[in-house]
This record gives sequence, C-alpha cells and structure tokens, in this order.
Amino acid sequence: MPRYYFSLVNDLNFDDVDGLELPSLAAARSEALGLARDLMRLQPERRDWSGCAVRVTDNERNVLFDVPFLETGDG
Amino acid sequence: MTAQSEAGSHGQNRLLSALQPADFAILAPNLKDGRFKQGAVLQEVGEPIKLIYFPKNGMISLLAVMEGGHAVETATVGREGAVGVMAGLWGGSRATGRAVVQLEGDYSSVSATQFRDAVVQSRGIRDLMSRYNDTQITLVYQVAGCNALHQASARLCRWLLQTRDRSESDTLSLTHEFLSEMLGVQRTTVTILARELQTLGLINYRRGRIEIRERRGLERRACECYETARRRIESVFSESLS
Repeated sequence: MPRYYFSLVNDLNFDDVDGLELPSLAAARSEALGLARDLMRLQPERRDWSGCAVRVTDNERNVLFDVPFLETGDG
Repeated sequence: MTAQSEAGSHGQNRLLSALQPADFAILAPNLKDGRFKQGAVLQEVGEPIKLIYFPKNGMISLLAVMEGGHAVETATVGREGAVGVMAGLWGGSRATGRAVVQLEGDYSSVSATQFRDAVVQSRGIRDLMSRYNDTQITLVYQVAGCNALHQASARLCRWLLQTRDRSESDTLSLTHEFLSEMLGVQRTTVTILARELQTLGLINYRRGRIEIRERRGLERRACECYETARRRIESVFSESLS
C-alpha cells in the first residue's frame, strides 16, 4: 500500500513525518478531510480558517493535493 | 477463610473475589481459565452471549458499532469487572455491543447457562452482579457525555490513564487505529494530540507505543470522567462490604 504524508498549510505547524499507509488516493483524501474537520472542532473558538489546508504528499514529497478547511462543509 | 484465598487465581478478578465464600463456591466448579489476545472479539452486537468473562488482568473495550462499520468506545472493562453479566440477570440476552480485547490478559469464564443458574440460586451473586451492571450502565452514560462534550485531548489523557491503571504499567501498547477509534478522530489527529502531550513532557510517543512520564500532568489535563469512573467502580466494592 502507498504511504501518504499529511501536513498543514498556513499558520498551523504540523508535519507528519511517519505518514500513513492507505489503500488509495481516495482514502488519503478522506483522511485529510477528517483531519481538517477534527482540527476545526478542536479549536471551536477560532473563527477564521481561510488559507488553512491539509496538504497530502507522496513518498518523494510531491504535493498530491490540498484540502482547504473551508471546503470540508463544516466550516 | 476469605473468598479471595479460596478463589485462587479466579480471585484476581475483583468481582469474583468480592463474593462471599458460599456464593463463590456456587460458581467455582464451573469457572474455566483462559487467555485472550489483543484484538480478539469476545462478543459481537446482537449475537447471543455464550460466556461471561471475568478478566484477571488486561483490558476489554465495549464498542458501539454504526452501520457503516465505524465503532466508538462506550466502556472499558478490566479486573474490576466482567463482560456479559446481563445475560445472567435478564436471561437469554444478546450482546448490546462489540467486546474487543485491547490489552491481552488472563480471564476466568463461565457459561451463560451456568451463570444464570448461579444468579437464580444466590442472592449475593445476584446483588453484586446487578450492582456492577448498574454501574457499568452509568459509566456508558458518562462516556456518551464525554464523547459529545469533552475535547479529544482531554479524552486522550483519560484514555491513557485508565489504560495505565488496567495494565499496571507506564508503557502502553496502543495502536494508532485503536486510539483513533476510541476517540472518534482521524489517525493523524491522534498523532497531533500525542505530539502535543510529548512536547509538554507528559508522554513519550512512538507509533504503537506510549510511555507515560508525568502521570499527575496527565491527570490535570484529563476530563473529570477519569475520576468519576474510578469512584463509581470503587462504590461497587465498598457497598459489597456493608
């Protein structure tokens, strides 16, 4: 199974160096979406999430896609 | 002679050791020893309960399972409790949740039929098991409230503390998948939360393995549910002495 790496774009400081083995790109997108939702829920007092995104990269650190927090349907 | 010394290894389970010797003697001939492995499913939702498990160590999670397969923690059981006692109290019961072994360990077990007979025969067994069952229901309510109201970080601290109490060790083998299921968050979110606790010097964290460094610090960051659950469990046993 391919390994995907998740990091946060903008002012949130996180880079998962271990990554996660997931069956598909769709599974990686679902993990990224869930992560964005979790992070918004963890900081309910924060109002402005514009510019924040979960970035998904592959083994060579190529950017596969970004999931902006504001496009998760929760924000 | 106390039930504990008569009970031998069965008495490592606190419910069994809290029984009066005469009551324990009713169950004793039917108790069997066993060992469960991490990840083993002891009961599945809706299936008939065949065995009642009394852990001597280790830890079992009771999970609520949603239609899509997602599961979330509703309670954990260690040597202070049992899995499946409602089968003896109400008769013919089916499991209300999935019971999964989280920390491997030893247990005593008795068949549901023999347990039911013992409950009918002895008021002492019936009273203690009812009290335990009632307490477990209040703990499930507590966890439901906790899942809805408390932050994932505070719940993670509660989880680490209660697992530590069950395993009686500061080094916990907990997989990522498991913690993410217990807390109802993504695996990457677990990494973020654990890393935060590590930065504070409370734990050392590697994938699949967590070492607790500052128990008091975790207690301060855990939600109230950790202490509440501890008190409720103790009340099962303090009442049995009176």
